[in-house]
Amino acid sequence: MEQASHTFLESSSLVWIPLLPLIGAFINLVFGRRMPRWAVYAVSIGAVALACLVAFYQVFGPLLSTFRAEPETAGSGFTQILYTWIEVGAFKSQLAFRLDTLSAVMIMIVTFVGTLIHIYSTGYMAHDPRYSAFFGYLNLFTGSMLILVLAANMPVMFIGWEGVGLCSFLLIGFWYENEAFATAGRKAFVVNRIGDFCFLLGMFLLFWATKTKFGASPEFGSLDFANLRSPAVGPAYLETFWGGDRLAAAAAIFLFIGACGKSAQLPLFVWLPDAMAGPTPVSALIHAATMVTAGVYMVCRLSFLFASSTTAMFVVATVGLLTALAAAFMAFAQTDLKKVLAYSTVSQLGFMFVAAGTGNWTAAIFHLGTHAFFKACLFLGAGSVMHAMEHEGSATPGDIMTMGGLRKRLPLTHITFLISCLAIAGIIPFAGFFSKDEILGGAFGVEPPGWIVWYGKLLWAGLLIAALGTAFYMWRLYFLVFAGEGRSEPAKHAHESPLTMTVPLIILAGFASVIGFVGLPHFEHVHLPHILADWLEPAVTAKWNPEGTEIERHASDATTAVLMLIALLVGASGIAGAYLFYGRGPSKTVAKLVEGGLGPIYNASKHKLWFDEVYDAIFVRPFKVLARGLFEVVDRFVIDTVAVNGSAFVVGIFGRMSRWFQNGNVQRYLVGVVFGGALVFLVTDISDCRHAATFEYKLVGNQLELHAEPGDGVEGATAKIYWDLDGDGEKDKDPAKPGELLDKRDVTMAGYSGPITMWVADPITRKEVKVTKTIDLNVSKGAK
Amino acid sequence: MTRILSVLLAVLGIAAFGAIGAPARADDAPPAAACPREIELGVRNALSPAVPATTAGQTPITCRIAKTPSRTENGVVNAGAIQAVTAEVALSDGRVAIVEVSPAGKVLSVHYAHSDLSGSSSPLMALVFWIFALVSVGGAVFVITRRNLVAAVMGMVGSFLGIAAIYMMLYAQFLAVVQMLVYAGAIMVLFVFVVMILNRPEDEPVAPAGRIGQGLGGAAILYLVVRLIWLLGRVEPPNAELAAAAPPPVEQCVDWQNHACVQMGSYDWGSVRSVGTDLFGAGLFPFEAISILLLLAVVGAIAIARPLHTDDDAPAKTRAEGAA
Amino acid sequence: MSNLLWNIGYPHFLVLAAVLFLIGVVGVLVRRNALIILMSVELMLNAANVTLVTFSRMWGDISAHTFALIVIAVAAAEASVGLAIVVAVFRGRRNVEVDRLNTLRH
Repeated sequence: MEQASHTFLESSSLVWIPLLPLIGAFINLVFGRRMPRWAVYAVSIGAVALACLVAFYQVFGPLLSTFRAEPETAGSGFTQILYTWIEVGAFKSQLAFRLDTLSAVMIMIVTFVGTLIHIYSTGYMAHDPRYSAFFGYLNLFTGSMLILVLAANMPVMFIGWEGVGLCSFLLIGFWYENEAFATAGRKAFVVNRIGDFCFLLGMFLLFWATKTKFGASPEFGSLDFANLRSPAVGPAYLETFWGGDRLAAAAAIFLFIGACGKSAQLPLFVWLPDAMAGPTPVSALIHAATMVTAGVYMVCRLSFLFASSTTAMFVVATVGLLTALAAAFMAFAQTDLKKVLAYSTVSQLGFMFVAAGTGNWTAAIFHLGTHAFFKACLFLGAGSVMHAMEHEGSATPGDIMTMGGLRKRLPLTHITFLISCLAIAGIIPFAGFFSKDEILGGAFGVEPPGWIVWYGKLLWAGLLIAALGTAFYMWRLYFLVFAGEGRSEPAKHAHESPLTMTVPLIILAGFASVIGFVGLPHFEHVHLPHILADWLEPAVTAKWNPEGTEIERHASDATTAVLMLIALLVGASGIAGAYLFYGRGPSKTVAKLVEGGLGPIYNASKHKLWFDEVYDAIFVRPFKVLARGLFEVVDRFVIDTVAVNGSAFVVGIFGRMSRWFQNGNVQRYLVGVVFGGALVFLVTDISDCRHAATFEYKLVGNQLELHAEPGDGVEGATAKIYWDLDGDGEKDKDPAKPGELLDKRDVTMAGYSGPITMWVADPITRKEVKVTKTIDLNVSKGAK
Repeated sequence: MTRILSVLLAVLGIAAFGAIGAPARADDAPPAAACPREIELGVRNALSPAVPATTAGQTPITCRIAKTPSRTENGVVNAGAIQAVTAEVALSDGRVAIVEVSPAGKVLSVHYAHSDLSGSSSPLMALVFWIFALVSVGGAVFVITRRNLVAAVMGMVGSFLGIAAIYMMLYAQFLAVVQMLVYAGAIMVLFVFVVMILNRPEDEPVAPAGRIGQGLGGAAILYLVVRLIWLLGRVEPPNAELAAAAPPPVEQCVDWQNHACVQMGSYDWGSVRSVGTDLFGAGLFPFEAISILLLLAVVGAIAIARPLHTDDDAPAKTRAEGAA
Repeated sequence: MSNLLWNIGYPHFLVLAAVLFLIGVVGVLVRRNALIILMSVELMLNAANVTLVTFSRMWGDISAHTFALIVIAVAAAEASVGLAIVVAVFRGRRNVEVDRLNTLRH
């Protein structure tokens, strides 16, 4: 809603939602080593579960009643302000949390899925010696994610943003003894950082644009979402920025790049496949359900900003589409179980961004939610499979080429995996169908002002191809892993995982089945309730700024139905195609094709379109050269040789000089004394101790008193001073001593008749200095 | 052999001195008299503007006119022809200008005499000064160059005697005698005693020094020599009249009452009485202090030079043990 | 030039004193034997005295003679104590070469 109500409802328990996991993290990380195993589990699972309970209570209690009562103002939600964090100059930021309908969806997903994954981890990490740190990091991550989601302003969101990035690094590189895993963690962090930098730039832009324009206190700028959304600020987004497009475009694109880093879009997705080096629960939690969705959440949170610039929307949608296609392409040739899932995550995120890019915020969040469940289920299922393979002694537990026939050995895992695969392929009535269909339908029908008219349809077509690909490679995975017969010893003898691992799988699969029904498609004639859309309506914008036109999709019922059917057919054909090729295991047809014409394409897919290699050549290698160069020049030469060794060398020289003088030989000391004495002579000889000889004058009555200043030292003391007071150019004679020149320091003359000359005759150097002055009688001070 | 050589050199020096010939300032110089008018004018022109004007008939210019003796021939007195005129002009800055004038009045040469320090600017005093200056410096050089300690001490004594003579030239009679008594008589005797105690010949007279030390020290001393001589050579007495003659007697206060002087005395410059009056008058406190200093020095010298273990302690100990 | 030679004035005495002083300095710096060094110091004091007396004559102040007397007394005191030290050092080391007396180095 454009008109924002600034009535903030206070809540006093919001802070516990992120705080409980953080406390759990603290306890586990600091004391975990000394606590018994059950205590560690209890603390971590308890923290997240409690947070989940508080979240659910807050949502289904106060927030729901507010929503029912005033659907419009529920967009402001509940706020809890802890204290004023930063207040400097024109910027003020408070540590504040906000629960509105959008963040409600997120916290429910995060805490619920998080709890399930924590429970799963107890089984998965049962044999790991550093389990307490693992649970600590998991809690830390959950807390950070909740801070991110519950943030009431952008700086606090950034805290969470950074926090999840950090935890991602810690968890990916959890088994850091393996160099490759540690490197993967580092890669994730660095790529994330690039995104974070652009996020910051976007934040700065927003601050700069809005600092004087919003309501509460005119001298403070603030990045509160409520303030950023207020109609007073709206025009700020439309100002041209650096003579180019609107400010909103620049800010939104910067923020979107940040989201690319976090949500693994082109071109910053390269960390996600490598992130599979971390333990599987990590992949499930972070890289399927929560962290990677932070970008989508942020875009939806700032829907008003993006809606102010169709250029930015265009960028978002295009990048999303390209990512979806590229990731789907790359997934075809992967043989590692988790890598396939990773690429599928990237691809699905692309879908979500396309939805956001077409203004379909609800669809994006919807797909986010459904994806969280079925992807988490898929990852946990993969973990279960890998756990089973490892248990049987497989050296490469993730290699799907060595699996097969596991449907008989791991029944529960099989069922849940199957359900999730159906969901991701978009088969009715599973969750993926509804959410994916909504995205496709939305893309098809939308016509944002400023876009090419048929671009929406182009997006739809591309997404359809991506959906086909999704179904195909996911079912390829399914068939290769579960169908056919076991292709290796471990696969033949694998057994089902313990309950702690299978129960979360079942719960997730259950949700993946039914959660789709919160977002039933929109028909004009048959009103099917779209609970999610209604729920989210207050939180996201529904109009283009500034046109004020509604973001809507023109689609008749028939079109909608046909589109749904096409999507279904695409999904089904994908499954069919996969069955055709891989129904009974690795396909010989495909192998023949690969050796033949499909070879280059297969290579491109297997090598991930050489993204990593390109980045390595363009960025990493030059950077290494630069670093090495700096090391050699700056560190080795300038600092070590010149500064450190050099100063030691200089000190050594001074030491040697001093040592010459302090050898205990008194006569040498005396040489110093004599030398110093000669030096004193020299200095007084060279320097002109007798600074400019001059004379002062003073007018007393009608007498002019003159006082000579011949200078310092012996030469001044014994100097002879001659005067010429009568202006005849000759030294005056002394009236008292006939035949002698007047030699006096102080003379008095009555009246003044012209310039006065004084000679200073130096007896020692036999030099004579002449000073002539014309006195201004009006100035009767002793001016020089 | 060296003795004969040194005597020979001294004789030759004196002869050369006489042979070179000082300006004819012997006592048989013509008496100073007033100058003939034209000569006076000529001299003034030559020296102008340094010559002060005459005041009330007093002229600072005196002439010594050398004439050939007058001869009487055939009852006609021929006045002697003027051979040379030497005009002495006392200049305002204390110097005396000696002008050689031809009989016609043309100025032949001008040179300036420095203040007459010794009461008369005779070359004899100059010779005396140079001889004793040479003795002092020669003795000093002896000290720093002789390897034999006794020779060095003797050189020192000679140097002190020379300095005593210099004091005499400066009218410091009392100080000259004190110098000889105390320095040459007492201190050097002390040195001789110690030399006799340390009767080792020296191995290597010059202390080994690095090039830096030699360089620095040599440069410093060279510079000091040049600079000091240049500086001190330019010292001029502030009071020309005092410098031109022997020092006048010293007016000193010999009796005080209530911080006021009740009796003044006038004693010769540098005499015992004058120095004594000052020593026990204004310099009474330093005098007393110096006596304490000397006492300290005596005690200190004994304390330092005393041997550490003496046999005097042993009998005292045994006596004490015996009594216990 | 001959003026300098025959007309003895204050500069002559002052230069003489300076020369004596510098000869003393050279002696202190160069010679090894402690006794010679002490004698050079005496030489320097004498030079100072000559200067004092010259200037006293120049300015007509007789109190400089008193000062010179005090200087002589101080020189005597210093010589006696110095010689006592030389004797004490000789007693321990059997030689009085100053470049061997360098334990101040540590």
